Amino acid sequence: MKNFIFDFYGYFVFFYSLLLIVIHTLCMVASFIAQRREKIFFSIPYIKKLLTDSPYTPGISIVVPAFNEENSVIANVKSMLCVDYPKYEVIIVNDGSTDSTLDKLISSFDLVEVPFAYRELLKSAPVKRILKSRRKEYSILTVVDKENGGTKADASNAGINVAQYPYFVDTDVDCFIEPNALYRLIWPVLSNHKKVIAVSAAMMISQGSRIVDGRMQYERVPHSLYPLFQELEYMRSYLVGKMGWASINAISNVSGGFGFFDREIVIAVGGYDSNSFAEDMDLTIRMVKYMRELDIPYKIPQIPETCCWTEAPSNLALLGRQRTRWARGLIQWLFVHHKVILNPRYRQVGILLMPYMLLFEFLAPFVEVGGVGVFIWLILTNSVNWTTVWVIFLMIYIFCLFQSTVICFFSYFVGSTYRRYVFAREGYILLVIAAMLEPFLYHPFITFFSLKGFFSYFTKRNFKWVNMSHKGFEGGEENKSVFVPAENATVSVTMQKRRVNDED
Amino acid sequence: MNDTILYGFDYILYYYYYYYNVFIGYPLVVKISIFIILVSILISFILFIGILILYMGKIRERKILHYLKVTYRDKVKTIAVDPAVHSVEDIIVSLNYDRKKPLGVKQKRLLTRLLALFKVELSDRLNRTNYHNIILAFDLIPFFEREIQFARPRYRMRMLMWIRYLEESVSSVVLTPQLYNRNSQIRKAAQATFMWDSSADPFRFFDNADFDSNFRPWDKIDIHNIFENRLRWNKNIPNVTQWIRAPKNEIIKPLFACEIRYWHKKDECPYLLDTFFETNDMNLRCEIAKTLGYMKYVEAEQKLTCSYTAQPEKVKQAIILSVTMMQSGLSVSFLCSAYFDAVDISTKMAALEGLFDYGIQGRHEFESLELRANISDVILFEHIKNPIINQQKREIA
Repeated sequence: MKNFIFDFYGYFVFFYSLLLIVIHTLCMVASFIAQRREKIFFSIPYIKKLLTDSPYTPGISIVVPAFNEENSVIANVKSMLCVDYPKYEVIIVNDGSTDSTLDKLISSFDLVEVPFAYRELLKSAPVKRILKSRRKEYSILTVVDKENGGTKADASNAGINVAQYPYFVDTDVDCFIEPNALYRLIWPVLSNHKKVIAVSAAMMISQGSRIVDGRMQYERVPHSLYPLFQELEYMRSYLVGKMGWASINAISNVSGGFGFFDREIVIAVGGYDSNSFAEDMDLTIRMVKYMRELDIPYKIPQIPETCCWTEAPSNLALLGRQRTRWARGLIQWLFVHHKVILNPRYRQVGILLMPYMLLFEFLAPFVEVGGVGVFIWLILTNSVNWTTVWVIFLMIYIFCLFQSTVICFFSYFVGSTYRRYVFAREGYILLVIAAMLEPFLYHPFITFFSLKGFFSYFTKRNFKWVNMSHKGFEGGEENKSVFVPAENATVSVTMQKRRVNDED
Repeated sequence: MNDTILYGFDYILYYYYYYYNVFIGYPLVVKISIFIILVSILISFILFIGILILYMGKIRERKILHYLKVTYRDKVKTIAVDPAVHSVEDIIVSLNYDRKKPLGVKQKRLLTRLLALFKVELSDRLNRTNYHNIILAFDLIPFFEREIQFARPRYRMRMLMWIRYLEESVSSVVLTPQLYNRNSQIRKAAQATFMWDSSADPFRFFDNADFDSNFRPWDKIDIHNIFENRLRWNKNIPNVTQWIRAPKNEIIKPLFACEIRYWHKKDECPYLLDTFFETNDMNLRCEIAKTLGYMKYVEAEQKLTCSYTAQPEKVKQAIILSVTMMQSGLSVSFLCSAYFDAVDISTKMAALEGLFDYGIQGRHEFESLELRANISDVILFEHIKNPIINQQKREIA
């Protein structure tokens, strides 16, 4: 019986991995086809020219919740005001910051309170006041000062209520938006026959890059360990996973870090859910359900080009906190939307995506830990067939490396600026080295944090939202993104000590 | 022992069968694993070669671009901004361009890109005639035509865009086969380029079923640009009323109503007014109301205000805007009643905005309403009056 269980488990793990490899390979192929198509039909200068002159150019609101971001808020808001698009606005939502975030905004942008007729279309904590700039050059900036709602979702909802354009981008204060990002985001909306309800765009890690005068001067691969691994993970997720799933219109998540949404649909589904730990995933699936239930053809595309750089958790403690929350979010998401799983009404999302999320995102950490346990037991009982073990391990390892080669190729193919350093230390070589080390130095921690998240969800441990305080585009060291403000073109080196808030 | 020494192909064949037999003997799990390992290594190697090829291609491209910049940039810029007209022959001599040894396809592609870049850089100072002559001097028109006919879809598509970007034209004969290309994106780009310049029934595509079913929001922007360009080059634009009622696509109908507004086709107002009452399309009704208002077609004012109560909120707001734009001075009471009767806050705000912008009479009424406003409405009045909030609104408008 014992042998049977171990044999069964061995075969289960093998075919489980095999299925995962097949899915990833299909995603790679689909992604490559989609990228080629995108390359053929997308031309920035032409689109820019027509959109700049056209009265039909749709407006876009950039909604940016901020909580205790005094270190980075000014530089980041300035970078957002530098985005190139003929019709957009920036809405900063001060989510009851207890530091000087709001004071800094008021003094830097000459803000005054205005009698704004605020309409609560989506639920959020009470809005105290709305501020706008007296200076004409900042007329596109609106600051919403509200009571702390405890979550980013709550602040985003308040921002969406104030937004006046039909589309909005939801992002974070620690994000730097690529100047042409809005053109890239609006193109799938304009060039599709179907209604595009959201657009997911690729994000990269900002540590290692340099931003001057609100423009990215160079982007380089982060040199510190954890941001580097996360960069690899992001590239894999956006260039292979999401691109692949988007090709069958079954994207699981339009990231809250940088996501583009149709405001009307978001309002129709009730906006972000403040109780969700994965508010972006939850919103995406609710929008999909809404469209399917009303039988309206829709599309959620993925853009392969990098549109945004974000500051990644730079140490294990912060990373752990982030990943634990993501794991809790995933399991909550699966529970809340369990009726979609294998439900033919939701087509590819119900039949393919949701089972995939259940089997390969939720179950994977359990299978991995179970596999390690069985392996240890087999070693102890001296019943390991080492030849087979090495071959299987090698297969998994080589496939991981293969995936990294593929993402390097895709990144080069879509025109990432890493290609300037293709054979240099700053470019793909570092990513390949990271890919070699990832299974040993990074992946075990991610598995642990996922299990910790699941455990805390099942044990209903009290979970508080915490501020992942950011350095912003400041500093001058190699592993930090550097922001040089427009009026002062010298690099300000203000190394603020990162404050780590306790989770519980 | 009689050993056989293997040579050439037999040697490879021997090892092939040797490893094949070893492989066949493995269990299924190992076989699959080895297969995946080998395929992964092989594809990784191919991708590495791919990156190398792309990298070399990029280096070559950079070299060509550098050569073009060094050789032609300054001369081209000087000629392009010179107010005096330079003939094609003069330009060939000044550029020292040898037409017997013309640039290659890759070089011409990059040159086209470079010229487009100069166009943006020099925009206001550009002498159109000289710029066109530079393109002729480099013999680029035949190159454009060749690209449209024979290049890969990517370059074909790009060229169709570049032609419009550079404000050049190619022979209709070259475009005609592309107008019915299987690829809908190329077909649309070719049709847009054709409409942009041609005089041979250029807008015939508007009657096609394909135009209706494949219409994208981007086509709206494209069509507006085509009309704009034709008017700039003193070419006629069609009477679009014929296409307002026919299409089934919900985006197309309002588009033509908008275009009438942008090009001030006031003669078409009576037709639009009839359509307003005949159509069930809410978006079309909205756009017609705005168009009538924008063109100050005061004959429509009474009819629109009479139909006001029977309209959905979106159309009500469009009627309020329309009446405000007409500024006939007769609708103050209508705007007041629109404010009092509004059940939707957006309609209420639209009515107040209308009053605020409705000359002295409207402003006076706005102020008196403000004095009588209940506590929940005070903020609406303040919102509308506020110059900082209005500043952005004016910029958007």
